Amino acid sequence: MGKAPNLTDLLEPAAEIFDPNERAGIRRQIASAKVKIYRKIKYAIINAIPHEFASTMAVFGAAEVMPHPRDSSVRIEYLTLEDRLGERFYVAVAGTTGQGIAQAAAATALIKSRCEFVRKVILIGIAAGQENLRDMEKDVRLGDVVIGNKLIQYDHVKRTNGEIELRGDDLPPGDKQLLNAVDRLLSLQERKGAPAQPKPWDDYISRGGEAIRSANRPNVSNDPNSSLRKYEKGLMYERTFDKPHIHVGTIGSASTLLKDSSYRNDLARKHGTIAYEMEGAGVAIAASMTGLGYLNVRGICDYGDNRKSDDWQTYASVCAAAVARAILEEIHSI
Amino acid sequence: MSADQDLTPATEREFGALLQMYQVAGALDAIAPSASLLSKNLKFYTEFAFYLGEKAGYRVAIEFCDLLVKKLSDADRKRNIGVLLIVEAQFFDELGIGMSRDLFALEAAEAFVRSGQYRAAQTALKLVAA
Repeated sequence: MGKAPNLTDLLEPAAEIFDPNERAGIRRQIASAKVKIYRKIKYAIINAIPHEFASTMAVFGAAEVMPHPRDSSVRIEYLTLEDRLGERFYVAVAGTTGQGIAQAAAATALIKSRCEFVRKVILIGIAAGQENLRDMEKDVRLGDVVIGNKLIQYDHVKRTNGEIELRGDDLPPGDKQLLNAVDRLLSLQERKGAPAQPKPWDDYISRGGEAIRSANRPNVSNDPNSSLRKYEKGLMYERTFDKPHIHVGTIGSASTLLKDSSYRNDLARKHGTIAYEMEGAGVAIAASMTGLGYLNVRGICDYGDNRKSDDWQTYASVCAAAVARAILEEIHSI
Repeated sequence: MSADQDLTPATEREFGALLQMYQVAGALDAIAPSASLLSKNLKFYTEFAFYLGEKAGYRVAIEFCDLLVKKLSDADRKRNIGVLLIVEAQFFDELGIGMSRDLFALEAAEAFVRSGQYRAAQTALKLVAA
């Protein structure tokens, strides 16, 4: 830092600058400095609800507040991370948006307006998973993480004389570069003996578990499907059962709290959905309109049916945050 | 800034009493009840911020400055808010958080320009190390 200024000089300067050219020069210097500084913040993360935010902060570490316009009640913070090569990078944090598509869209737009050089945003949260009690490879279990390569807004429909036609199936897909980073991380799941091998997100899950109340992995007996599974397919597929397994697929998004297994299964049959949440469509739409790439990363906490409980929510939040952090560190390493 | 200046005994006593009032009340209103008082005595409160930084830590001092900025902004007394932002930048520098130092110094420069204080904006820009 340069020499600290004299307080009196600042409050009672000897001579103000009135020359228009000099003033214009100072404004140009400010603009140039602003680009240089804010260009360092290339990524952003968003959460919907407080425990998702708490889990994210526990996994990502302490955030610093950014100076903000005083006519706004929303504070943006930033995190400092290091990629695999040890290079420092910065991530803007919008805090919690509240549940719902409109709220998530507003938060995404706000991030872009305050940090104009952010290029990618990751939505981190929990979701209901699409069970598949017969196929071990496709079964989305509690504690798994689902990453959306495609998104549908299943409450954006046209109803005509009892017929329902989905209109919300043209949302922009997940960001290619972020999905590329996901693919590289997924390759760790594909290796022989993968379930036993440590993954980049394991340490972050441990960190979250130590910092957040009720964030440790619940007992398998808390999974209502544990006694119902009768796998007939995917039996040769290797996956872990006591840690998160990552799935990539279509996520269904709606401003609807889902507790309906028939409806959920119908969506899966028609659209191939593997998880269901309440904010993704908002982020996708706002990201597309503001030139951002996005990714939806969700920890599975229930099955979207009448057996829904809160037991897995915190652990699922931590898992989603841990995987999201691994994705950011991976993409910045390229 | 005045961090390097030795306090007179009278000022030390005054700041000590203010610190106690601030810590007990946990609120800015206990020592700066009105924006007009704050605005008229900004140098005093800014110097107190440095005192607070030394005695209670830079994080506490940063929070204090932030409250001062909010109080002035809410009362639409935005002139010289840049001074407080520069002080925050300096505290972040003491904490070794270069990104925050730069962000707050830049914000200070912008605040000064908005109120037509270009000399001060120039001074704020010199603090940006990015």
